[in-house]
Amino acid sequence: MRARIATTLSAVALALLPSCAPVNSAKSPAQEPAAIGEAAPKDPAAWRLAIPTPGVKSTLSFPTPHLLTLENGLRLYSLPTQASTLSLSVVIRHDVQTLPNDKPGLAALTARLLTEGTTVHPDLKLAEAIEALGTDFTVDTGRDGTTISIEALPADLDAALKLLAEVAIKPAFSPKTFDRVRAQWVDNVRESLQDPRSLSSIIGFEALLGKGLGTPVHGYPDALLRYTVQDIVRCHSTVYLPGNASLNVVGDFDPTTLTKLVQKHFGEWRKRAGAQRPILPTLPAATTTTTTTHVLLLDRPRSPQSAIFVAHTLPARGAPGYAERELLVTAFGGLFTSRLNQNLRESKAYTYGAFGNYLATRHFGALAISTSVETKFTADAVREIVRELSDLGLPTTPRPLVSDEVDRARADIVHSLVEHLGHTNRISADLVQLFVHDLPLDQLAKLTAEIQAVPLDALRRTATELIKPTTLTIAIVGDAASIRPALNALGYPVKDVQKLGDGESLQPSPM
Amino acid sequence: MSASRLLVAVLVLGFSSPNRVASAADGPPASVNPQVTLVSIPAEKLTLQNGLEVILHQDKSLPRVAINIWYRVGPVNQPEGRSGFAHLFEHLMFEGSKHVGHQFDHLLEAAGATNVNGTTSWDRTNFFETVPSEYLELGLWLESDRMGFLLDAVNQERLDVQREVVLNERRQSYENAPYGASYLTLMNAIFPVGHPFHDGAIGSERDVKRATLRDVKQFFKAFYSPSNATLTLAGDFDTQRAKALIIRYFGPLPGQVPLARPAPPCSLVPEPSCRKDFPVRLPPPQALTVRESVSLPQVAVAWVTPAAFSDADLALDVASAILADGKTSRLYRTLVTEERVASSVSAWVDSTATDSMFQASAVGTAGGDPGKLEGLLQRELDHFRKDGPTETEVARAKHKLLLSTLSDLQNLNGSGGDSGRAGTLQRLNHYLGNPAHLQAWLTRMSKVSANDVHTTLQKYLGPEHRVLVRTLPNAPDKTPPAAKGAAQ
Repeated sequence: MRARIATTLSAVALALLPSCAPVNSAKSPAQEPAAIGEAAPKDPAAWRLAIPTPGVKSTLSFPTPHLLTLENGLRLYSLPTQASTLSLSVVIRHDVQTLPNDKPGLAALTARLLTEGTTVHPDLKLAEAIEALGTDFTVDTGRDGTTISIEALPADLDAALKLLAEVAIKPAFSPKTFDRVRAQWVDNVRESLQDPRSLSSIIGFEALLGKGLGTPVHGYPDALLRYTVQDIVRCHSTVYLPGNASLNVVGDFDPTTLTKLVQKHFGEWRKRAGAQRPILPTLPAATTTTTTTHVLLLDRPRSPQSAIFVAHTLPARGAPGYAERELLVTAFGGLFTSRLNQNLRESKAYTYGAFGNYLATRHFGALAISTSVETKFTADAVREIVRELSDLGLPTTPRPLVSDEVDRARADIVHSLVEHLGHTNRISADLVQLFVHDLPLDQLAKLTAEIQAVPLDALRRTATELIKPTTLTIAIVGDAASIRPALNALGYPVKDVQKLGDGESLQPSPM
Repeated sequence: MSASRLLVAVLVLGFSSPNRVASAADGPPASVNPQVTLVSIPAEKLTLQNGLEVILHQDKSLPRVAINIWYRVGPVNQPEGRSGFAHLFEHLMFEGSKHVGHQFDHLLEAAGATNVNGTTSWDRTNFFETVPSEYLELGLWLESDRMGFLLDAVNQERLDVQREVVLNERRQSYENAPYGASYLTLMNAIFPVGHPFHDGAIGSERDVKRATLRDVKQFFKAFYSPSNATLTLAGDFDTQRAKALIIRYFGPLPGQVPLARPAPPCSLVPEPSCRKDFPVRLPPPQALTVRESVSLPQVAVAWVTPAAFSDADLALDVASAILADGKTSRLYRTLVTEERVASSVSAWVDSTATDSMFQASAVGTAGGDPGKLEGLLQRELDHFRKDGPTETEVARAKHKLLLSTLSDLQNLNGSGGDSGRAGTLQRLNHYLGNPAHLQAWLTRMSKVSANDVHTTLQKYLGPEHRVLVRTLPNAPDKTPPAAKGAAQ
């Protein structure tokens, strides 16, 4: 399988699909009459040289989700479809402003405990109830909130909503269960720290953004072991409020029935005076003290590859110009044909894949590049990544963005949004973003139009303004003995890392 | 590439309480057939004169069409000493063809294609993409050109680059990934030297380095022809126009004498041509230890099991869900919740046209006793084999499998090209010879009983052919890591 990365975009609304960019024919033999003329006598299949022209352009009206705000403040986003399974999710907003940033992983551990028993279905009874529906809870905590989701058969809408409401509103948080689940969660975090790629991004984000914004959402083992069940209860009572939550339902349901069932199961979720959904201002872009490119190195003796993470900050999700930033990063590193992957994989063969993402949260944004390269090419790969960023962002670059690569990125972003409509889970994930980022119901139409409208010269200016090839945070997990000399020769300060920010010791065992 | 749990589904749509599910498993209720109809995939199958099979499933609800091609070739067809070659060849299929040039990915991305990829499984290799409807012809042009004219574009330089890319894929997915080396050790123990699955689909570094351009040419000529492939379209297209385009682009490609396709297992299709030779190469019982750069131990146990879509294969899919799907599952309840010796558990069947593999594994806890983890995992598996599941467990597992199947069938193309509607049609066609067998398969699944699962466990998951691999953390280096590097 070839390495791929999904371009994540978050939106859904109503739009008319704009035209696709024409395919790149600049290098096509079909566009070179001389080649055709020479080849034709020899090749009976020369007619295949012509690139087929597209048929009649398809159009699509994106469905509009319905929004209903319950009396207690809970927002219900719903979209009926003909799908044979339902997707349901409850979303809770929380972030560095609503929870103490000295407790890394507390929100994630709280969310994990929700599905370990309720006051109605204690302990295993809850699992038996949800699994009897042929389904299970999926809990995902990110930097802007927590999503608890399930799939269900349409006939089970009532039962599914009942259980979803229970876990959000009536978790048991029994001390005995807390002790067991915390220990398990700590081991799950330890397991993720075994992966050099996860480690490089954790180290990189922490160095880039500092404590709080840069802290891993799943927490550190040492810190998690200090929390008590009272911390969990406090976290839950602070942010699990109907005015701070949304409910998303997508699939085959009757709207009137849905409204009644939601009132029945979520209507009892009491709002608390003065605790409505906080109006969270979008903070200015995170600023770091980074003044020069620097390398953080975690030794993993005898690693056959080095996991490399390269990042710098970008404006947050809500700052003006989101479409430009999404387009810029997708063109640079989001596609298989992006210059980053073409260079490191298809030209140099240093890696199985190299990709860049725009991580866009409420409080910060970041360009984050990840790749794993053969150990002996570690410094070469870093040099090439920095060169690609310089070529993208420096005003005097000889290789500014060109229309072909930008049009491929436009096509990818727009058509990926259409692809979302093919599954209730993907539509539901888009609805989550509407709530989390305070986006309008016609967000998809707006974003689609914006992506199509960004002029090339404006995008080049955006690249010059935002890409920072001289103030990069680079985190590498690899065999220090092998790679250090060449890394030193790059001229960037190299700092050894042995602990995460909370004092968590990092000592990978050797290969 | 593992066969997904989507291989199994049951006929319990509309039944949501455990008791009613159990009754559905005891005997098909009256409403079974209408419910099964809900998960059908209407499709038409035809065969071109050159042997290319074509399956068409029309659904105009979104302006997109999935293009999905399966070639009946995989590691099972590799020459001696060329492990990993089928997969390396898959990479080369993206490197250009005579009339397209080296623009395959560029053209598809410019058109707005999504999910563009290829995968190599034990007995098949697939290539797929989902394109906007108006670009169907572009996709057919691209696929037909690499089916017919790949060798005109492949050269030593592209082979060398993709060889290094594949070796980096091997490093990233196995050598430098937690428990990756343990997986390859398990594969090599359960499929000994001489078995085509030995060294895994990724192959050994030595063999991948040995592959030559001559190997590439021979492999292409032997296996990449219309007569050894099936093209499936799923989505928004005009049927007559699609047929005309397929004939235009694929019709002129020369076919070959069709290769023998994997015969269906006897338990599924009782006909003279079915396979009677299972199991062919059962390994001796083994317990191996691998040391890795991990902090948590792992224990994995595996057996060779019957072919995809056999009765035993369906029963083992149900068994894997009973063992490790959800908090009510046996391994989770015992090892994670009650004994607290594991932080996670898993079980699955990797099903193929010949030899499949059933595996159950558990990741331990920090500072926990790996011996206790291993002992309890074996104890639970032994209990399961001795006593079998309850009807309630079987019903719950089948309900989960139904829901996941229905969810998956929303997709036109699944992420690995072997799921979603196009991938499911391909799997049914590849292993059963008929994409219309969905109904029959689901009906068989609905009848899997606790006794069926018990009998299958007794027959195939015994101690005499069990392979166990325990993964233990490496001892830390005596030299402090950073200091060691800095001293250079």
